[in-house]
Amino acid sequence: MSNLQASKAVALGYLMKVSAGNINASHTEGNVMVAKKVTLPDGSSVPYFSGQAQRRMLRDRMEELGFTLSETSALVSGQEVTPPVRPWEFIDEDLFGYLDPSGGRRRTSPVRVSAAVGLFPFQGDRDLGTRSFERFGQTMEAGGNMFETELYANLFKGNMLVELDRIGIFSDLEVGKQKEVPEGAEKIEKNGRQFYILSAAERQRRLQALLEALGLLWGGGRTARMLSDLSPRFLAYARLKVKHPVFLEALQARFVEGSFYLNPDPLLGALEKFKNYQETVIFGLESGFFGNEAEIRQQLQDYGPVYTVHGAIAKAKEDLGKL
Amino acid sequence: MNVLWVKVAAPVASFRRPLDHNYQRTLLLPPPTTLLGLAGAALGLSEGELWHKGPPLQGLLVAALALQKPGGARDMWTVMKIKNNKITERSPYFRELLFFARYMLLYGGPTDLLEALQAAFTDPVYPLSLGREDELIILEDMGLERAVAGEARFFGTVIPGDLRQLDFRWLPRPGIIFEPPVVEVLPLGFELDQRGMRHPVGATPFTFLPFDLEVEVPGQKEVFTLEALEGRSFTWMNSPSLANRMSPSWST
Repeated sequence: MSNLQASKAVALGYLMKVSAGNINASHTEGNVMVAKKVTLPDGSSVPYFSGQAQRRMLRDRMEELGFTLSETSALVSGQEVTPPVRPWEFIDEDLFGYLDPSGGRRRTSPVRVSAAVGLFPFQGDRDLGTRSFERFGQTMEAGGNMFETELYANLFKGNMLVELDRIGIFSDLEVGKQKEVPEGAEKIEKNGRQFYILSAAERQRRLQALLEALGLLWGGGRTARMLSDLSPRFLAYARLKVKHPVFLEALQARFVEGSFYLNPDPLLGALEKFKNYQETVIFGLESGFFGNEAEIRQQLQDYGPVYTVHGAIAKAKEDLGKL
Repeated sequence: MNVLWVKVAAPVASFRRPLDHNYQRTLLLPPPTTLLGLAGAALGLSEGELWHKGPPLQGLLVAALALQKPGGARDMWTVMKIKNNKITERSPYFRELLFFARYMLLYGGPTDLLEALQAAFTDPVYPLSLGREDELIILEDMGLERAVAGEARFFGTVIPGDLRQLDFRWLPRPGIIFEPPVVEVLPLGFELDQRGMRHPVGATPFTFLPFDLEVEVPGQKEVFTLEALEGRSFTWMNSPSLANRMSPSWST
């Protein structure tokens, strides 16, 4: 058994910068589009965008990479919406799971994406816009409705945990008992259960596509006028023998005189705590982004090589390519 | 009795109150089924195995204590509404979320089961989450310890029963702003039908005490403490003494 076959998960921790945006809006209050925010016990608030929103962006980027996505509401009957349930065919059903209410078939997502939480308080900023009455068949002189959108400048911490031992592997509880073995899959029986397993090459391809999509991340609402590049400015990748999201609480930063400073201590603490379970650790750092770049490089290099973010994603894809 | 304590941090967590629909409030602490589900995820049990009336988790006792006051958010989602076999419109609903919560989760039972659970939390079969599948938790620390009798004083925890019907005394502390306790009737388990759909069983009232609300409940039996709890006490949510309140299908 190769070392890689003992790997059960990949943990990813990353930081995304939004210069002026509202990635994932909540409801409207009057004519104000409210940003999703958390109220802290001291009364202050920080913005966040949901894991679901990130999944949507990742799916969209995968489509651009040439993958065919499933139609989540392929069949509508009564009050039930049934997805295709062909994860061997659709990468998004494989990576992000599904629920088939009619047959009880359900795939819990092997890719867990936590909400991305801002590291700095929300300051109450708003963008003023006008929705012209021209759109409703009137003349430009008729004017328009004013509206406001809450927006923020912030650094968001995101986290992902990928179950390596489930990508491309589908149990009979997830897909039902198949009359024929799906194309490209192999059927095995284990403990009285049936599993359909895609080839190692296809499983690698899907994992690599996930990383590629993360490296290209953008999306969310209001992109027509508030486009934000959400590709990571910092990335920590760890291939693990256990399924723990090691970077979940490990990313902290401060903002001093116009520059972000990554606090390496919680990250080093997490790396030290899970040291015995790590098989490969790779870091990606956008050059010139952090005020303490030299300190970060120096402190992290004892745990794994530090590349550019693009270089780290390439190395991580290479690492998964050995699976 | 030996107790497995598991200290966890949950950047995001939510525990929907069962009857909430368009506005889904969250409980402040994980209910018993969530704690059993977490153990099942660590051990790799399917829903059928987890909620089967016999082993492997039969007799596993659960409790939880909040270690800090969490932040909160009201998250808006949209659901697709179906009319005449077509998805016609989107309908909003709100879900309350807890942010930056930290808990001490407690499990009691036979030592071999607790040891198996401890090993499973170290190397879980499925990732550990409290709430929905994306609401991951990080394990901060864990230990197996013998419980000793504690004082019947509680805060930031869940006690079985409706506080309004218990003999209790509020222990005020200066300078705090506390939320009122929440009483909710919750299941102690689920049964699965032939389609694999879950049906709650063992409906029992529970009182969820917020972090800043401390009460003394002199009549409360089976109160324990651990060194790891640094003077705080707990009581099991699903103690066998609750059995007479459970539905026949669960208790038999």
